[in-house]
Amino acid sequence: MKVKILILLTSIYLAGCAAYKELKPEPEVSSIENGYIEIKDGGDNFELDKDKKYFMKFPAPSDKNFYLVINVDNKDLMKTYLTPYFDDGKGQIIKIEDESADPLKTCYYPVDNSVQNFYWVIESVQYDIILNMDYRYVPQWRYKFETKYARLQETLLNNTVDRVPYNGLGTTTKLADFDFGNEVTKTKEMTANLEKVQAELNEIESIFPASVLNTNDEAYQNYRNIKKQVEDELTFQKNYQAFVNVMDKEKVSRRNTAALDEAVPDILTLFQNKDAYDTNVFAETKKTILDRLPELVPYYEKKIADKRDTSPINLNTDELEKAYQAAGETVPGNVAELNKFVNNFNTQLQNLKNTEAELDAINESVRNQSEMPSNTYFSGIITKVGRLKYNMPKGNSSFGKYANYACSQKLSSDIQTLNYKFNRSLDGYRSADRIVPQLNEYKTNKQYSSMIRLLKQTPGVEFLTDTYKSLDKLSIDKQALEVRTAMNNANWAGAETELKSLHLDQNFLRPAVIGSQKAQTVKVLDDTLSSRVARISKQRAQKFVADNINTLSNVEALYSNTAFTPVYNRTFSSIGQADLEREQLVLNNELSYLKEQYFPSTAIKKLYADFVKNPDNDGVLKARAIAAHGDQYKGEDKQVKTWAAECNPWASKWITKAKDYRKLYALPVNASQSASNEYVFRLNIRIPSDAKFPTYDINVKLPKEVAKDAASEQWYRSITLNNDPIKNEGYYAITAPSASNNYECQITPVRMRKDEDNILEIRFNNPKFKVYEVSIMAQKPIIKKN
Amino acid sequence: MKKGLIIGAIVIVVAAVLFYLFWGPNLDGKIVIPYIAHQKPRIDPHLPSAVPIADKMDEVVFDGLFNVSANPSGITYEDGLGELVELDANNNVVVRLKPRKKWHESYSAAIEDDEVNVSEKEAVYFTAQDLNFTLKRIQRLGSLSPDYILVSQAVEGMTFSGPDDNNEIRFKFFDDRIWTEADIKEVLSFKILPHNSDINQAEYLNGTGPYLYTHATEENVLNYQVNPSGMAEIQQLKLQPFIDNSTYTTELKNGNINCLLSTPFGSLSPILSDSQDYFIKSNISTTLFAVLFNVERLSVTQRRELRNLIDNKKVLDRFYKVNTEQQKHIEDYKGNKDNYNDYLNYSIFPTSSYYVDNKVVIPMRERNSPDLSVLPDTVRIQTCLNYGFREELSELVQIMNDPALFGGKIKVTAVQNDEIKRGNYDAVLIAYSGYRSNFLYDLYEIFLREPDFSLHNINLITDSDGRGMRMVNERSFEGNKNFFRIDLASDHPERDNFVKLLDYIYGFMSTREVGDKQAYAQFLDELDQQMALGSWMFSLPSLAYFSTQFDDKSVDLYGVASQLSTIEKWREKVEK
Repeated sequence: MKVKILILLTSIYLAGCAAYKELKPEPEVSSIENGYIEIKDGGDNFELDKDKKYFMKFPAPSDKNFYLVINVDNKDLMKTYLTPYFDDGKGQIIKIEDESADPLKTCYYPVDNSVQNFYWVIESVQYDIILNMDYRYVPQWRYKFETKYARLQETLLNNTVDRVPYNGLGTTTKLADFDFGNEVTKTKEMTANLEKVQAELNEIESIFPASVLNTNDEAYQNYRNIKKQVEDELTFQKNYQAFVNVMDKEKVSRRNTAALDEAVPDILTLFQNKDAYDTNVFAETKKTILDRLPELVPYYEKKIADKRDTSPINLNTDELEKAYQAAGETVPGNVAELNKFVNNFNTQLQNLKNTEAELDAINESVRNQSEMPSNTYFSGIITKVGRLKYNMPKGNSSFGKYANYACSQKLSSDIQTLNYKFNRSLDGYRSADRIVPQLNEYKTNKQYSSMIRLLKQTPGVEFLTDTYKSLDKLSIDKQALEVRTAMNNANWAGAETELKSLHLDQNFLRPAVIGSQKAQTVKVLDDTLSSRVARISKQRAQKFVADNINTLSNVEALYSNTAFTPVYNRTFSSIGQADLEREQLVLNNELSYLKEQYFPSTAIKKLYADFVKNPDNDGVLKARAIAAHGDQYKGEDKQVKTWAAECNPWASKWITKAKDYRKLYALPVNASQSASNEYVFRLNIRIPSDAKFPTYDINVKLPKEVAKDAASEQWYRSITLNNDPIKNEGYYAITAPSASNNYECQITPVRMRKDEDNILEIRFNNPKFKVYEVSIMAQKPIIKKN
Repeated sequence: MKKGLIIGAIVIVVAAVLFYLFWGPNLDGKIVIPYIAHQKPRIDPHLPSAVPIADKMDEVVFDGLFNVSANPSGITYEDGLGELVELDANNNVVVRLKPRKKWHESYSAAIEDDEVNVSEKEAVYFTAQDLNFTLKRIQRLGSLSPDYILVSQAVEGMTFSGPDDNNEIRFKFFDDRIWTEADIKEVLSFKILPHNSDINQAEYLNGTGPYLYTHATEENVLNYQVNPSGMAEIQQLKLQPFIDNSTYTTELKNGNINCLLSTPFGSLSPILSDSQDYFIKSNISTTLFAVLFNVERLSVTQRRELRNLIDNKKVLDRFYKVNTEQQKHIEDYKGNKDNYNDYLNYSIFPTSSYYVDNKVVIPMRERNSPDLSVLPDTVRIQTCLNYGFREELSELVQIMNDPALFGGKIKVTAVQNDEIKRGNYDAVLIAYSGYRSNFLYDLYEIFLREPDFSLHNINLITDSDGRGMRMVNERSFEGNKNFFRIDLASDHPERDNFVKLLDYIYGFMSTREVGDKQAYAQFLDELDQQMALGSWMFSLPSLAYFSTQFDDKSVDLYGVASQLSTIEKWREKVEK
């Protein structure tokens, strides 16, 4: 309970602290249209404190387009506004514009019935003041009309033409009495003023509520009256202005036919509107004008005679003729004849232009024909052009006395020129009509080059160039396709022939345009042919290598295989003979690389790995294959060379370091297994030495299989040093291998030729046909007695 | 009458055949080798001998720790008095000494007629003491002994440690190489003498080898019987004396000998051409003929012109009667035939030697036309036919005295040994046998041998240099102690070169470095080209004939090794 009381008190306190104080008039504000009503706080005016804020509710009117009009003293001492939404000054404030121009007292705000209340907010008060204020709800039209009515009436009065002189023309007044120039100016001003009044009235009418229409509302009736008066005056002033305008021009154009010519359209308008004028007015006017018109024909003829071009004749001859007719007069013969020529000239000119435009359009359409035409296409074009030609203007033969005028001659010449144009077009189209079926037949057979040739050989069909421009590309594409097809079929010679043909081909509709494309195509094809020949050649070689990497027999013959030659040796290239030769050199070098380096090195690496893994598994064949590959190897890979040499019994194995056992393979050199296979291995002993006469013991560790019978039979067949036999019977000592010395044979003293090759060759025979591993070691000898 | 004569002749022939069959020489179970009667071989296994058969007999009588032998594939090393146990990573060589090896004195021989019965008596076993004695002897002999070079280049201190309980001894080999089994056994193949020997005996007969010496007959046939504890197959070895070598081929043909280790002229013998009866084995030359110039009698200029005068090619062609019906054919171990020019020598080092063959020494082969004006009216050359190679030397005397060859400028005379000793010659023609063509070519034999064919004295005098090394003494060149009559005690104009020559000779012979040997060889050749110490004539092919009594496959002769080094393996042919 206490809490509730506390909340209540707090609320009361907070309410008392609101920023704006509401002024609640008594009696309450009413939105009924009922004149001005004072705002009172009971019987008194509200008192406003300086710097305080207030607001007052005004209920919405019953309809739209109302004004809330407030008259308040000291308007300038307060800052006020009217807003449809108000929450103690919080949130966005939408201020309704005060349309009053009065800074001191009156405010009127447009209000409507879209909200329940409007809030008149006093944002600030400069001094403590007594609020002396009344208000009024009033429809806007009424308020506006009431506030403008007097002024509108005055304006109407001030801008009404004095019709007396006008109406008395021919009776009480003469034309000469008028100052038409002044009248023209004055009337224009008056009409302008009245039109403003009319606009204001129309604006008020736009906000008439339906309820006021056809009522006897005073304001409404006043409105209708003034509006009609304004309309009547404006109608009069329009006709009056036409009259004074024509008459003013007639006056100022005297001795100035060009000025009179400019007035002809106004004259025609006036004559055609003769019913708007009193008879006397029109009669006076007509008489004056008709007196002047005959001077126009010579003026026009002079203009036409001076004309040299075939632009349209832009003279008021037609208006002149019609002016006579509107005036109810017979048209003079020269006027009619002149007008006829002008119309004929302009018509033919227009016809010429239209026809040429149509021909141009046809020609353009033919030129722009993107699709190659059907066999009947041009017969239709010929018909269309023929018909168009038939309707060609006839030229000066119809110009009568004006036929020799320069413009007439020019027009006739233009017509003739167009005629020639027609003939050319027709000739071309007929030729086209004749060759198109052949072209289409060629096209069906993709004989693009023949199409081009036919087009180039047929005169007058140049217009087809654009239509058939794709032939150039088609021809190139077709030839390119033939090159590619030949390449795809590995018909390298055919591809080269086709490529050469394309390169030399100049049979194009637009050689200058297609030239670069053809050159590009040839270049691409040339490159493709080169790269294809190179790629296929290399692929063939690589496949050959892959297929034969494990080949063990007849390895030498592999290197004679054509797989290592180009699949085709080109004789032509668009890049020129020198570049072609360079290109072929590159390919040959690459194939040579495959043949002389890649193949042997790859095979050697593979076979050697297999070989050393298990020398007893086809070891001899593998070694021979490796050696054969090694004979062909021209690379610089020392390892490859070494492996090849290791497997080549005729290649010397280098002994370059003393006191180091070096393994090598002893291999049979006879062709195939026999009862006594001959084995050979060679050493090249080149051990760096400071000695002048380097001399070594050569120790050879032999397989048991080779040396096991050495005690009963000489295990070797021969030992030579630089081809000289080494024999135990000489000063050399050759120790016999035996089980006790682990089958090691020593040859000593072996004197090396310093810095030269020293080839020690050992041959032996063995019934087995296999690879034997032998270890060799050289070292400084001891001096032996035996 | 005529018929009677024919019948008589047939009877005589049949009787002769029967006599030959039943009472002719029977060499079954025997190896009979000839020698020059007055050049009885005196065996010293550590020193070279002037008598070729003496050096060869080293292999017959003595063993090393390991013995050099051979088989068809080459040289082999077989256990002798030792057995190789181990070579460790530090080059320590462990050899187990064979404790049951007996010296020949452990046996006695009873001779009755031609029968020899060997029986055991108190066994005298080989011990490490014997090895120690041998090594000390070799060390004392120094460069005179090839074994000194052999051992000193390998074994530190030329000594060993042990034996241990397993009778194993240990040698420390130098660390400068990888020692293979062949190397080790070669080094330890020097022949071992019993420790109770004198260090300088005239000859050594008590060995442990395959044959033991039993006796000499009244005819000076030297008899050797197979060692009962050895492995030799053929029971007896006889060295049969002959006056000279001129009858050697005939003796072989007549079946009085069955092994001729060198033929006269080293040539094929027409009378021994039947391969059913004989087989041959050839090996590298071991004998050369040279004319050594007397520096006391001939100036260096004269010596040069004399060298120019002696055209060895002409002499050789005459020697073998090349392109005549009597041409002596030759065949070397390489299979070359009649390659006479290969035997021409142009240097102290024969063409067949390692030094020339490998161009360590490049002799000057071109000869200038001799300026005879500087030579004496007659150049007197002496030779002695009584100490081997009589046939060859006689032929050379005849050839060189032929005026058609040298215009009578040379007079060669065969004289007695004493005449040679006196040095009364401008030059002396000698045969130098038993040379090795390997590194161990022996220059002492040429330059320091006393000019007395009845002896074999090498006049090498060395001194200690005070640092444990030996150096040659100039007294090694005394006028009457070498064929050249070089005497460093005299004031000879070429003395400096003589000193240099002696220095080079000693350097060559004493070094154990191959490189040094090669360098000294070059120096010596160059010095000889300058000094013209002799005309080196030519070498003799080495050709041995064997009766097919022996199985030719069991006889392996290799290079510079002794021809008898494989005698233990020889066997008689088994008739099928």
